Amino acid sequence: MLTVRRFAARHAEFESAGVQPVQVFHSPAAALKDFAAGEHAVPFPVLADPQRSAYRAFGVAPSWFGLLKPAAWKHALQASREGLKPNWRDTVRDGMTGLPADFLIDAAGRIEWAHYGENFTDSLQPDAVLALLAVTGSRAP
Amino acid sequence: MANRLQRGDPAPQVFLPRAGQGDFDSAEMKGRRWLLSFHRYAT
Repeated sequence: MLTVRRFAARHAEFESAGVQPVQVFHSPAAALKDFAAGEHAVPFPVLADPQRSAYRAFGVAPSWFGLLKPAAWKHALQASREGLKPNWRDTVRDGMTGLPADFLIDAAGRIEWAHYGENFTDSLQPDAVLALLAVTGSRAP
Repeated sequence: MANRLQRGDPAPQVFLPRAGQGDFDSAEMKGRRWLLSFHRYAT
């Protein structure tokens, strides 16, 4: 959720770069309703994939080892400092072993670049994505 | 390990419920660049 908030805060820059963020979660649609309206609403699509069909199609696999990486817990601590507390009921419901991933998809529907996270917080952050877009234009190095 | 996608691969179709209402179909992104991010859970 921390990453979603960060993307929402930088949305104008993504619009300027001509890139539309789309975010997918393990959670059921009912758990995502706060992203659609109210103070936590975000200006891009947030999708529910509790069956993990899109995760499988994109090769985004779960891993217990991803829970063991110290970098993941550093990010989790930062989220806690920013007021985001884990909801253990949702954690159990949606699973703990999922890993994140990010894909830039071009106008023709092909992968421009792919990032597969190595731990549960290893998502590309807006700064990194915008820097990549600024430096490389349409192509990742 | 699952088959990982690489640059140049066609992106699989995405058809999923959208937060709020309705469904998202990746076909609606044709002609646009987009960043698809996968997370675990939303809380």
